[in-house]
Amino acid sequence: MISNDKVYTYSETDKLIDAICMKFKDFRLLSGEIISIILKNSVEYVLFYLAALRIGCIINPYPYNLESKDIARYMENVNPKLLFCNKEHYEYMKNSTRTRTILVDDDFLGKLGVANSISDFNPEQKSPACIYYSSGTTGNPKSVVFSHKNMLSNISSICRGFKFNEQETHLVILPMGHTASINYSFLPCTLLGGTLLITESFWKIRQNFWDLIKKFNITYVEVVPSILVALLNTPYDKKNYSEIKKLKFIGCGSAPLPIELQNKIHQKFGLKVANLYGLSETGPTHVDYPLDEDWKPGSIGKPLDVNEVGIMDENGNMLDHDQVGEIVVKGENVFIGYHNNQEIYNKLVINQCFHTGDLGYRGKNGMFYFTGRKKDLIIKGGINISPDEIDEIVFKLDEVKEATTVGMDDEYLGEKIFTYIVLKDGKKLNDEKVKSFCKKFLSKEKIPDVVKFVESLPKGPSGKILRREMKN
Amino acid sequence: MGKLEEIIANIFELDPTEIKKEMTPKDIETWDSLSQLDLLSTIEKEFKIKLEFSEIFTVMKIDDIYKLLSKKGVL
Repeated sequence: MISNDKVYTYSETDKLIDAICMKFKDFRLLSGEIISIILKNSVEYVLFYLAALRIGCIINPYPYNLESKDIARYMENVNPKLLFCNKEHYEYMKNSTRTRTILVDDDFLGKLGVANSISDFNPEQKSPACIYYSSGTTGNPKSVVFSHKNMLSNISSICRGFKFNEQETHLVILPMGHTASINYSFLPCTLLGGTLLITESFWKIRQNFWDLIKKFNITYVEVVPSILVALLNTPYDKKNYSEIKKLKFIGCGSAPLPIELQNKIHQKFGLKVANLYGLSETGPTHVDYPLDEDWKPGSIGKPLDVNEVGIMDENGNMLDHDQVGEIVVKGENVFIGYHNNQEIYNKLVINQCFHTGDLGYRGKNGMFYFTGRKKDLIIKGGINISPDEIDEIVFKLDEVKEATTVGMDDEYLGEKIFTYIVLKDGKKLNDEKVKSFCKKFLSKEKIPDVVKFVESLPKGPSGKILRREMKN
Repeated sequence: MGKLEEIIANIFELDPTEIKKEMTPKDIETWDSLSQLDLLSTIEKEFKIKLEFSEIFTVMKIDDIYKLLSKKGVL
């Protein structure tokens, strides 16, 4: 690993993991207990993740950029034994959750003692390895549980599908609290013996993005569409760029990737962009490998070799090629449950088949194409946001009679959050008040970008608000 | 303190006296892609100007904000 110009060999990393395991043992953790972390992209993140697995605990990371109050609501459901977090979250979490909270400060690693070698816990393959945060609401929190088998099958399949090898040097710029960089870079590089260059975020290194690619001989970087838009518009040194030799392709996921954007990046930088598709509940499910000779932009590729993917109609019948239906996934990589929420799991996993809520079709050539979403989900800058979670907060305002939130297309972020409100008779409210009220409960990326007041909202025969119609 | 410094301080949760023209996102913890969008849309509203889409990405340090507003003739 490389971070902040410091290099950590595998041997050094192994010793640090042992030292963190010793720290865990001071807290008398038992195998199967949950350890939560809220850490910036860092060496510490990697070490805590691997140390938790080494002693047989379940790792539960949260995106660092979420507000503490938001994370606390999710942690209520997960109820971990310990929480390790950086100072920005420490005070709030210490005082607001029942979980014992430990500060990870800048000198945390320096203060660790020398540890004896700790042998790896040998888990049951079907037992939980990690619990990831996913979009949801207070009433229906979605914390996705993956078993050891899920993770191993998924990561090894990704390595095969994308032809990753021990020469990999991946640049990490996406928040590690989300799964993208974990599944495509951190765990594949760890499995294969590659190298990770960890940076805090794209925005912090935007000016030097191509310099880093060149200096560290980066072979792969995972991005979201907004980053591609930013790269197209950020000035760069063409001479420096021409000396980049090792970067094979860019992977782009977490949000729908317009084919025009794939083409623009290829035209400007001569780089192909893989369109990465997957779900919080499955991890990646397809391989779009742009170095194949017959590769074309636009599709999400072929299914990973560990999962079967089908297209299903409303009645549960599998559809033939070129027919649009719901994308359903079955395989070793499909998650084993939502933590403490069996009800949603039972609704979405039928006969071991996970119903993604996404729409798509399979071409005659076996390639799959994503066409839209069946479920109401907003993806803003690559971050999944449940509109229900925002509505739930907006409804707390006394003045609000009805409200609904939708994602509207945006050139940079993919989607922006629009909230439509019908006021109670005689009540007054303005957009600033709604936004500042939301700020009390939600992380900043979930605050509505636009609030509109309307006379009425479209409804179906049962009186249910037809959210989708507001998108038109 | 001018209007621009007030906006920058507000968005990035800084003490206005801390703001320096050479500062980049690396120096300001809260400076990320969303806060940059927030900053520029507040500037548009407060200075009554319209920024081009590509101009969002030309801001890479605090000084670039001053340059952008000078170019627009409002500073």
